[in-house]
Formats: sequence, structure tokens, C-alpha cells
Amino acid sequence: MNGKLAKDIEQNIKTIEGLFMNCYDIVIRRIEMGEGYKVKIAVIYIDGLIDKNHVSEYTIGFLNSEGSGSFSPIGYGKDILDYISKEVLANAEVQEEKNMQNIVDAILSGDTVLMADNTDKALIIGSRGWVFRSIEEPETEAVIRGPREGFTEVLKFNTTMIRRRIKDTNLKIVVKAIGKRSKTGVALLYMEDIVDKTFLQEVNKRLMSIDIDSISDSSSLEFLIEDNYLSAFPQIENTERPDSVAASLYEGRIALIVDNSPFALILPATVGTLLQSSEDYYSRWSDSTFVRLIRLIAVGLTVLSPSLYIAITAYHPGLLPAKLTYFLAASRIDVPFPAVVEATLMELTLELLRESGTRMAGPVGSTVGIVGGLIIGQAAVDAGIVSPLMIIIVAVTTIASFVIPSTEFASGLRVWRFILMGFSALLGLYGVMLGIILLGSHLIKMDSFGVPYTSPYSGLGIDTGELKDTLLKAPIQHLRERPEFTRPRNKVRMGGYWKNGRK
Amino acid sequence: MEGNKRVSNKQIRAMVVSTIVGVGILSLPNQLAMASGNDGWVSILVAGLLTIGVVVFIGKIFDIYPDKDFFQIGREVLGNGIFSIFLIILFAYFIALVAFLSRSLAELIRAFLLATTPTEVIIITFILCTSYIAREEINIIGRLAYHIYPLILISTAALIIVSIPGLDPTNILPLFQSNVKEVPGGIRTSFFSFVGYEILLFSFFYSEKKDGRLKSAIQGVLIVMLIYVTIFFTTLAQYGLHGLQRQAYPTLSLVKEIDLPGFFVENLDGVAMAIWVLIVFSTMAPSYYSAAKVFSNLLNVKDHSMFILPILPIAYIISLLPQNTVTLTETLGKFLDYSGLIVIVILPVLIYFVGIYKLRRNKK
Repeated sequence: MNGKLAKDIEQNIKTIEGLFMNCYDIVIRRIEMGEGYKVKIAVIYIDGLIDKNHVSEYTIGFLNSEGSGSFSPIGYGKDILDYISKEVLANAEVQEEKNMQNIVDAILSGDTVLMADNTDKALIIGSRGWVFRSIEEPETEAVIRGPREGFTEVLKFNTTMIRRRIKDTNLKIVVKAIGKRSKTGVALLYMEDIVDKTFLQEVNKRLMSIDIDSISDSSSLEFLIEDNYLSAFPQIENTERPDSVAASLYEGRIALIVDNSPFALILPATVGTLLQSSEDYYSRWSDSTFVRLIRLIAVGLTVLSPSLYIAITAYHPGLLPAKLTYFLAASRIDVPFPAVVEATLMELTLELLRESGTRMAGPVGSTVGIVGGLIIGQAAVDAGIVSPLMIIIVAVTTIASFVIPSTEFASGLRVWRFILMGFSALLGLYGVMLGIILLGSHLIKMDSFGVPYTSPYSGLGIDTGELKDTLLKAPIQHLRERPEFTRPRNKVRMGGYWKNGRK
Repeated sequence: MEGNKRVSNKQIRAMVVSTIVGVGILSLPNQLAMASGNDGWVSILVAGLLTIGVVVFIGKIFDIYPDKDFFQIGREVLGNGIFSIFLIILFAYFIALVAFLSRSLAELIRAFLLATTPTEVIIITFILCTSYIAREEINIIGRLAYHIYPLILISTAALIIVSIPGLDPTNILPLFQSNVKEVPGGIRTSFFSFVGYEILLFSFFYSEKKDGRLKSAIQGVLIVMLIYVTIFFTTLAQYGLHGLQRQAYPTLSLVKEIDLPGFFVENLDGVAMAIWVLIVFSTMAPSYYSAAKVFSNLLNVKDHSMFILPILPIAYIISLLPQNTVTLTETLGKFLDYSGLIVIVILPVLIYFVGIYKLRRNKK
């Protein structure tokens, strides 16, 4: 199969038929053209992967009209495929190919192959066109203000959306096929003159070392190339938004777009970038700064609040003001469980609700939410199984976890929330601190492609004043340099002086 | 991207601050008040200046041998045999330090947070949690320091600002009344509070820029001096000399005094203890790291991470030897004083002078 094409068209067709045996979607259309001396031609494609109108009209149609009319023995003797490609076909992309494997790959990817007798070449005609989902608003990263288009499952459209935003030859889009069987197209996007070379090499090295059957989604790729696959935290960002990808490319980061996946990967990712949303750059700076501080509070709440509740009620009621202590004790007086059981019970209930809400589409999902959240919560308090304060804590925890823009990061924090609850049940506030030490150590020691995961808080960003675009969001006039953590080769992104960013 | 084990100069500064400030911060004002009365701050300054002196010696060593790490320098200058003896003392020192830190933490946790939890449980959980980061390389220790460093500065500043309303400045007076004979005792007490700068032995070689590293380290010591002096004055102004001499942990008591009208949390000592656990952790992690590093070098093994768990039981057992807090300071504390004097004061100075001597001899 790896061999070259034979001169005899019948033999070639036989090979293809052999390879595609029992594949009902393969179509081999035979044509004979020319007056007097008939030249045998075959057009091969997979039904459903190609744009049928395009092939019928511009390939088969032109061949037929040529064959019945002026096509004469002139073509014979000379290179017939060259003649067909140059003078007959009206398709945009036509290319010669000798290798059987490449031809088979082309057919499988939706191209049309044209073979002729008496030549050891074939033409590959670009004719990809299949049914696809149209461009829609991304569901996971909604914005109030900002572009509304999201990626689709088609690689070509996705890269086009990026190209439309970066009209610069420095934007490089390198496509590799990953997966021995799936041969999934993976596009590597970067800005040639901004990206750090060693970083690019590292990404290439990791992509090259992948040896797997199939990549079904960008998430599989993410798990294969990230630094610490055992961690609960994502070390690569993913997004449905082309504008986020374009913005990251301008920062000197690298994007990976995987065919059949509407989620692009952006790397490296740090705690700082995972807590950013593209909306931050579309709203006023004061608003974005406020929202970013809110997010940090949300991180604290989602990790800490249940474990602090356990620690304080079970071990250190004296740490609260006296009035609050009495209130707490009064609200828990009928609760038959220790605080840790109460908290675990409610957290588990809420996780059940969340999971069922995610799997159930639309109206059913919201019904589950209402029934679960309102009715169960109220009933639990009325029955005296949990204290009202617990319900508040659990609700706040969950809402806080939805504030975090990256759902993967939020779910990593969720895992640690349960670990911290265990620690606090055993050792009280000291246990909570041990949990924080472990979580902090874990975050601090992680790297994402050579970038400290906790940057810019790890000393990298404080030096370079990067906190103004992570902890806060300074007005755009003050963000004249690219963030430093990606080690961009071209550092300045805005010229001129501070008045309005204009010169 | 592997092999990038560098630390920046700011990380060095943070490392100095976060490693030095540790257990001592809670009890230092009391010890100083006992040793040299109202003039405790003088001994802080003197001890700090002495520390800076040693730090300069350490910096000079690495200037003489720019392309060697501490162990290579020691072997070359002092010879394998003598240096190994020093390494054994250094290892004993670090292990004792880890034990001392975890035991002191356990005693305080028992006193303020968990009255019924056995000391053993607190010690073992703390050492285990520290071992998770101690197995990493110096760049990670540097990052850790940089995360704790702002916490130390902010919490100290907040504590002092919040307690200003209750202070009585006349308590600080009279100045310069103490007996000259009492000053050395105070210096000895406060010098032990500056222990921790020895992390520079392991971090200077890995600094990104050679020029500013000594300056950053000295800045770190100066920041620590500032923190100690302000805390000493604040507690002195709050309690007066006699009050201070009766408070075992004046810094913590200071937190308890805070009572802001309309403030949500009345009893802030829980918060203070929580932050203090992190601060002790930031002293513990470099010490544990250094202990394993020294041990691995004694055995001529490059990777120190495999020794983290084997040396854990040693530290654990040593930490359980003293009966109570008093014997803890009398036995382990004394041992740390003397062994520290040998390995973190005499050793760097010795290496420096022998190194200079050898260098001159080679030139001739």
C-alpha cells in the first residue's frame, strides 16, 4: 500500500477497492473521454465528505464536456494529467500525487482523487465539504459585551476565525496529523516574532512524542502534553472564543486547535490567566478590577468555607464573636450530626444536583435545580437535619465556584475543598492550615511549559509590574508591554506616550 | 526547559526574610525584655549587624569561587575529611532545627488551638506536609518564599497599625538604662532569632544575577531587623517592661488585645495562629530541604529528594525528646545555639579565610 501508483488504472482501482472493501461510502466514478482513442479516467471520493455540487459541476462536468467535444489525441502521449489539471478542470485546488498512501489519506479527508490510465500519477482535487454546525455563540463563556462567535468543530473554519483577527504573516499555522488511526488535524498557532523559541521547541517536542490511536477531542491532547497529569488543576487553558485565542497569541502564547473540537487550547496557563475572562478586556477597567478581586474572593470561598465551618463549629467556637457563637450553637442545637457529616452530606447533595443539572438539557435541568435547591434545602432545614447556616455556606460555595472563569480550575479547587474538609474534621483550624500548605505547595511546585504555575504571584510578575493585569486590570493605556511570563521576544505592544495610547 | 533551577535576587531577599522570621517572632520580645530590659532593641540591631557580617562573608565565598556550589567549595577549601565533619554537624544542626520548629509549633498549637490533640500527631502531620515541598529544588523554595514574604510584611504591618490606638509610648522609656554586662546576653538571644540566613549557602550559587545577590540578602536581613525592632517596641509600648517579662508570647497577646469597634471578628488570635503556621512553614521548608541536601552530599548522591522521607523519623524522634517547652529551649535550643555557632558562623568565615589564603598561595 505504501508503494507508488501503477501505470495501469485497473490495477490502481483494484488496490483502492481492496482497501475500501466493505466501506459503503466510497464512490468510484469511471469516465471515458476522447474521440477515437478513449482514455479511462476514474474519480474517487467518499460520499458525504465532499461537496457534491462542486465535484459534479467543476470536475466531472468539465471532463464530460471536454471529452465529448474537443478532447483529442493531442492529450494522449503528452502528460494527460498535466493537461487535465491545466486546461480542463475548473477546481481551485489541484495537486499531483504519486504515493498510494497519500492518495488514500486524501480520500479519507474528503478530497477527490482523479486517476487516468497510462500514468503513474493521480490528481488530488480539494473538494472538502461536509455537514457542519454553523458558528454559534459560545455557551460556556458568555459575555455581555464582546464578539459573539465561537469555534465550531471544523478546523479550517476555526483557523480562519483567528486569521481574520490577525492579518499578519507572522501568524503561523502549522497543521500536524496526530493519532495513528484518527489522523486528527492539530493546528499549532503562534506569532513568529513574539513567541519564545525554546517554548515553541518544547511544545513541538511534546506533540511529536505523542503516540496514540486517536485524539477524540482537544482535552485528550491537553492531558497528553501537560506537565503534571496527576494534578487536579489544568495546566493548559481552553476556550471556545476565537478572540481569546487571538489575544493570547498577541501575548506570545501558543494555541492548539484540534479538528472536531470546538475548544482551542492555549498554553502556557497560569493561575493568573485561568482567573481571567475575555470580558475583562471589554469592560471598563474599574469594573474589571472589581470583578477580578471578586474572583480571588470566590477562590477563597470555594476552597475554604465548608472546612472553616467544620473547624469553627467542631473545634474553636471561641474564635467567633460571642454573639455569633451563640447564634451558631442555637441554629445547630437540633442537628443530630457532627458538623463534618452535615457538611459532607450537603456538599454531596449539591454535587448530585450539579451533575444531574449538567446532564439534563434545558427545562428538565432547571426543574432539577429548583426541586433540588429550593425544596430539598428547605425540607432539610425544616426536618432539622442540617442547620440553616450550613445551607448558606453550601450555596455560597457553589455560587463562588461558578464565578471562576475556568471550569477545570474550579473543579480542581472542588477536589481540594473535600480534602480540606477532611483535614479540618481531623485537626480543626490547624488541619485547614495544613491543607492550605499542601494546596499551596502543590500549586507552587507546578510548571506549565517552564512557566511557574503561580506566576505572576511567584516573584516573576511582581518584578515586572504584571500584577496590574492579573490582580487588577489597569486601563489599556497602562498595559503597553506584553506580559512577561511568556518571555515574549517582542515586548512592546503599544507605542507612543500615555495620552490615550496615541502618539 | 528542564535544569532551569535559578532563583532571582528578589527571591533571595524573600527567602532570607521568610526563613529567618519563624517561631521566634512570637516570643522574641519577651526573651529580650528578660535579657536586656528596655534596651532589647539594641541587641536586635547588634545581632542583625553581626548577621550581615556573616552574610557578607558568605557572599564573598561565592565571589571567590563563582562556578562552584557550597559543597564543592567546602571540599576544595577545607579538604574532604574536615569538611565532612562540618557537614555532619551541619546536618545535625538542620535536623535539630526541623525538630525544634515542629515541636515549638506543636506546643503552641496545643496551647492555643487543639488542647486535646496529642503532640505527636501535630508534629508528624506538620513534618509530612513540609516534606511535600522540601523534596523540590531551590527554585521552588524560592517561589514559596516569595509567596509567604508579602504575607509576613502585610500581617506585621497590619498588626502594628491596628494596635497603635492602645499603645502607651512612655512605656518604652527609659532608654539606655541597662547594664552593659547584660547586652551580650541579649545579643545571644536575638542572634538565634536571625538563624535562617544559612539558606544563602545553598541559594547564592543558583542566583540569576551575580551582582545584586549580596545586596538583596543584606536587604532581607535589614527588613527582618526592622520587623523585630518594631514588634519589640510595639509590645513594649503595649505592656511595659514588667508586663512584657510576664508574657510568654507577647506578639500573640498583642493580637488578642485588638478590639476594633464594630469589627466582625473579635478574637483575632485564631487568624494570627493560622498565619503564624504559614510563617513557621516557610522556615521549616528550607531547613528540611537543607537537611536533606546536606545528607545527600554526605553520601555523594546528587538527588536529595530520596532522603526526605528517610530523615523524617530522625527529626520526629528528636522533636519528642524534650519533656516540655522549658526543656525544649534548654536542650534543643542550646544545641542549636552551639552547633549553629560552629556551622553557620564559624564555617563560612573559616572557608573564606582559608580560601583567600589558598588563593594567594596559588598566585605566588
